[in-house]
Amino acid sequence: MRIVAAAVLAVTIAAPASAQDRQWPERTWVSINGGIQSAGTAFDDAFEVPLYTESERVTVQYPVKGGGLFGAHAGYRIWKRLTIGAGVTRYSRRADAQVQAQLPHPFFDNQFRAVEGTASALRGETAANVLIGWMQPVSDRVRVILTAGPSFINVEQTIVTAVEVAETYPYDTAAFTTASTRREGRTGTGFNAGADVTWMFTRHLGAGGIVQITRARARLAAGNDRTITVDAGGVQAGAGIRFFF
Amino acid sequence: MTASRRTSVLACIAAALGVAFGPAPSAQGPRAPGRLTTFAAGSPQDLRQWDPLADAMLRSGELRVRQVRDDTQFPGRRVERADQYYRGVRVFGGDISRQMDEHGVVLSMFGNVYTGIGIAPNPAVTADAVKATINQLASLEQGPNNAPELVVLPIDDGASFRLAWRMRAVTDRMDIVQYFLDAESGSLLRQYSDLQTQSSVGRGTGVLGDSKKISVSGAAGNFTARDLLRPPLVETDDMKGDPIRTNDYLNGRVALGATDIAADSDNNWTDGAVTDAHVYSGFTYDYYFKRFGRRGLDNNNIRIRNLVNPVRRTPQDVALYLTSFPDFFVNAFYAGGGIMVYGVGLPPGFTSGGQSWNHLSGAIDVVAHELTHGVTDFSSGLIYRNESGALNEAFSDMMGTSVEFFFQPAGSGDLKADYLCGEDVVKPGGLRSMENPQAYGDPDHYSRRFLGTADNGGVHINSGIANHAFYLAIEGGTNRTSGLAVQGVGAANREQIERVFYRAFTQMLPSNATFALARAATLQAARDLFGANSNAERAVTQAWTAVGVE
Repeated sequence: MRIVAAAVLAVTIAAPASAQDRQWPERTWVSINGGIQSAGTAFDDAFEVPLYTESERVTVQYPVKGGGLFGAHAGYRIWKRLTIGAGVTRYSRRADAQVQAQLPHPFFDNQFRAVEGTASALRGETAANVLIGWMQPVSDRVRVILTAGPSFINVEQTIVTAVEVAETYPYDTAAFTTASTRREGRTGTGFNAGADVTWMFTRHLGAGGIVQITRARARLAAGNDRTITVDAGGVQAGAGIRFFF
Repeated sequence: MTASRRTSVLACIAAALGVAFGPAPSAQGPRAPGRLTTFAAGSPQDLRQWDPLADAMLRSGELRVRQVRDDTQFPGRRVERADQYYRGVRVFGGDISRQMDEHGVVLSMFGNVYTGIGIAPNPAVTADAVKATINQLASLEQGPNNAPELVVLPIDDGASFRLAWRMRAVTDRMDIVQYFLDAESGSLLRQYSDLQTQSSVGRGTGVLGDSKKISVSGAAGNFTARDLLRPPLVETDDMKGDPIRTNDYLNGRVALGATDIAADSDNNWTDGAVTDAHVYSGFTYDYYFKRFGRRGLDNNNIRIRNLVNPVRRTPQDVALYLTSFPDFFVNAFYAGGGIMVYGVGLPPGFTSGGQSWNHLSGAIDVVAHELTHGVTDFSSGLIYRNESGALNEAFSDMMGTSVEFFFQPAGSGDLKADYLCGEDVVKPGGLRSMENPQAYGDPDHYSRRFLGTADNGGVHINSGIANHAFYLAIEGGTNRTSGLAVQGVGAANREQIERVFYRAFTQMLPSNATFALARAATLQAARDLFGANSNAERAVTQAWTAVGVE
């Protein structure tokens, strides 16, 4: 959020009063960016599985690391400098989920065996952003577009569903071998806000950078009527080419 | 052992070798005076004397290796057991146990060897004739797999010897009897019950009602009491109140099949006798494995098979079968081959000796006691009469109590660990006390030992002497007869004493061991495990001295 605010402030400072009257004759803009998305909000999961007449207790910590981002935005000036448009971003990154489990003993009650390990978990986010923008020419070559609007973020997440262990007689200890996982996806609704700064090379072509924040909350189905609530989105920063026509 | 006595025994052994290599004596010829030679060699000096003789006997075939097992308490070491043979015939009760390191160097040796045997090994009576006689003696025809063995039977501790046919037979009274018939005349020389029991007479009421896990096999709708999680197959068979079929199975007349295995449709087992026999036998396996590294009764994961409900626990069955099959009611016993049988007790309202009796499998120490008879059967083979029989019983009590302490919190009352035997199912008070044997009429001192012939020479009576030594070595205290005080290792260190007695009783004692040999072997075991002058050695020494065993 701070980055976005700073960008807006920079645009405001960079735009002298005389520039307010500069013209922006093109109606349509397109930007294509590559960049990064910041680390997201880590989340935990805990569930129980019936085992040996008791319950195996499993907890999983899922980190959400920053990763590569690809995005495309487009808009159309509908009135004066007000623009509406849409954008799509795609982010994905693998990270090791920390898995811990307390397994009941097959012979004795209340005698749990602790195991822990990791499971490679993919986090993917595809965001569809509605962009309501204000186009602000700063100079003849520099243009700024401030945007905000609702976002629809489809979250894909690898979810740990079971812990596989190796155990041999006398079963007083067990060793983590792997975790069973499945890919789960849900779409959450949120918002976006950002600023795009373009340096025009020609009348129709430029290069620029974008800073944007997106946020949405999704409820992933984790089986057995259990859901995991995850926060999607984050701060996105990228750069790419711009087309105006 | 003094030098002069050692020299004398050496001469006897040498004489034995001379007999072995010499010409066969005439069947009618005069018999040489026999002698029992007992040796307990733990020091290098003793071993230098004894080991060459044992090697010579092994080379000559007078000793034949019966069993070699890894020493589970010392990786790399092994224990070798050898039986004595005289001109190709096994000498009953003559055997040695040698403990060796990874290079085959003998570290200690204990044994009983008979000398001066001097009889002809040719039986006049055939095995078939012997079996026919035993069928009559047992009032039950023995199965085809039960055959007599020709042995040399020492008489009066080896003062003389008889060539005999030995056969272990199930009787119509549900006893298991060792018969010895004279191989020349066919007459009965000796018989004794080999039914290695937890106890005897009377009891009542149901199972304790505690909830526990039970390892079974199967799937929804059809679960069977077959534990497949432990290395050996642990199986519990429900005899469904059929004493005839139970007896026929033990006798080798019928085989048990899939329908005999205890079953349950929803895996919620409500038959307490099945549950406890199955679970506690698994626990006992666990104890032996975790404490000593032992893999089951034979240390080779032999199947454990529990038989429960051999009769119905009803007044009607008491009237019908108590006289014919008393052990199916108020006893539990090891039937050989990894098979245990648990009596059902007595119906509510029935008592025996003023005590009520529940299902015998409802007490963990009873189950462990019976399984330990199997351990003994596959290791030292302590002969079930007189002092060796009392040691056999005592070792089962020791291990039964040790298993109880391993799995239950110390205290009094149901499902608590203490030094009473069978107290959870025989109420009030249980069957024996290791802390105070005299309270149950059993001796706590060697001077008070039972010398009669009842109870196989007092196997359940004189066990109190060794039991009390075991107790004192752990807990300490003062022997009520001798007044001698013992500084035990303490309850927190009970594992030390358990390991000492386990080592001595499974790896060192010969089959015809005496209390004195048990003392020597346990002291050797204490030194092996914890070093000379260790607390364990001190406690064991003081304990045996306090109970009058020198």
